[in-house]
Amino acid sequence: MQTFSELQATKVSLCVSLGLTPINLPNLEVTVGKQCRFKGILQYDQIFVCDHDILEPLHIEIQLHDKIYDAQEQAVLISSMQVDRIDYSDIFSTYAVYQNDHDYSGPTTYLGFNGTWSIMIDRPFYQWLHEKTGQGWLLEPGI
Amino acid sequence: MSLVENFCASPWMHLRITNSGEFYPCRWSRHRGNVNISQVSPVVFFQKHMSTLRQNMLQGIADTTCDWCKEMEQHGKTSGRQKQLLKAGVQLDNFQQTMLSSKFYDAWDSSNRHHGHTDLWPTDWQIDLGNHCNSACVFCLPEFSSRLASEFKQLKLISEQPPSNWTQNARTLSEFIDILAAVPNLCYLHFLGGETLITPAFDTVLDALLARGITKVAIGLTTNLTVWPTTVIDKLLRFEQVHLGMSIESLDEINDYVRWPSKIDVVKTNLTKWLHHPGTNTWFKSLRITPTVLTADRLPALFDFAWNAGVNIESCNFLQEPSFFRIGVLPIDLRRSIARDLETWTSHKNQTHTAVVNTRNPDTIKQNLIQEAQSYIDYLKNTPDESHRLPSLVDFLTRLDSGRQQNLLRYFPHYADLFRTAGYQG
Repeated sequence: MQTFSELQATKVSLCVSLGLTPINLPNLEVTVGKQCRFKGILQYDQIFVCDHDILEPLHIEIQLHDKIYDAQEQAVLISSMQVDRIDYSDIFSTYAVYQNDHDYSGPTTYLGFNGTWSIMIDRPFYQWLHEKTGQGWLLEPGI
Repeated sequence: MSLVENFCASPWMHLRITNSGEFYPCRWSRHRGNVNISQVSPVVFFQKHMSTLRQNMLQGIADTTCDWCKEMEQHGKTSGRQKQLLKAGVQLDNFQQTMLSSKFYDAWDSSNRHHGHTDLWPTDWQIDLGNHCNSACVFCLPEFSSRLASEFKQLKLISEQPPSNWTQNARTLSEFIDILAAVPNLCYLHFLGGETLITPAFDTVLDALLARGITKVAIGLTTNLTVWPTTVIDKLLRFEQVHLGMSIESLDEINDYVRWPSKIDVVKTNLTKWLHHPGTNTWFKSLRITPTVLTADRLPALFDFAWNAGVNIESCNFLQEPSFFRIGVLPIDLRRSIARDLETWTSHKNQTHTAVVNTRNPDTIKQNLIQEAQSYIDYLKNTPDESHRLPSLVDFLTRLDSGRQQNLLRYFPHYADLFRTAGYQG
């Protein structure tokens, strides 16, 4: 890429990839961006991949419901969370909110309770990442 | 042409004013703007006079004013360009995505459509307040030290004193402070001198910022560690963020020679005071080093001190002027020996090297020390040989020593053969 104009002409989006591993057929609803990507019983490992506008806020939500606790263990494991082929599982799990019926609130990628695990990135992803990875000042234009 | 190799965010966010009031488009810039604050407002210079530079960058065209950053990148040292790009959220290892995500994207787009012009104001300033200084470091220049300027004039090394400091004009300084107070989203004010802590204009500026309640801006400064002005320090403590550079070249008497007439005991005492001052725990502190032909061999000890003290090391760039002080003036066999010592030091540190661009992150100081040391290892091994400048160095130091009643070989007996071969007769 030689010039700024060429950069502008390049159609670029985020490639968001979410990998899930089911444990004993969890009943899930998975939302990436504004779209529901899966709803139902997850039988096999699955990777959900989608393009996302690079400037749009990013919302990922995984809802587990109808788990019966006295029966065998049932859960979903978030096996990977990638943006543009870089795994950000650690950062996402640190900043995600896990609302569940056991009031567990620690960072986790193992979702074993009925409830909703979600992360809401309220600004362009790379601006959010800059702050969360300690890259220092992010200047505002002087205008 | 290459956008990723030549683009920098600095011309949309940053401006430097030198001691004489001249504008430089960047603190790392090789070339000045040939316009003075007495002629043109800094904002006008920034918006209009830097248009060509911005336009070139948007076209991916290299500008020679950026040569020093290119040299830093060549040797693995985090360059000014990388630092300024990072402030705009841009990282070279993910250039396309982070450029498109940057808060400055619209400003770049606007400049691209308007021949490089911008309506932005600089929010990151380097303000040289004058050459008011109590030190006369051997590698310094008269424009940065009033003491050195007087000495050079006496020794007839210069015929004229440097231009007067722009801050001596009270009206110009006052108008400039008004501009600073009006800058939208003002982020960083980095002050240099001279010795900043005793420069009268520094006190004036701090008072004005405090009077206007402008305390959220980050203040940066560098001190030569020879003074401890409690009044100024108390004012600094009222700012939310302070980045403090502490200049030192060696932990022994060699520092006395190269940073004359400071005394290492005083320097170390003040260094310790700064490192442990309870009010400065949130400050970001760095040893600011300027390795030269005389002090390159002190690097392992300095890095070791910094590692143990948990303090950063930072140097603006690889020293360029005076040319006979460049590290490349040291013969290659001596440079390789120093490089081996530094390699030994880095190899003993159990630290995985990951690239550090935010060199002022307190959580990655050790990674940054390793990276900085490795950049000097590379520079020591690979910078072109300039040992032909040794006679010029010896001649210069001989003349300085005569006025200072010093003896070069008292401080550098290990270089006695080297200096004598280059013509030293002391």
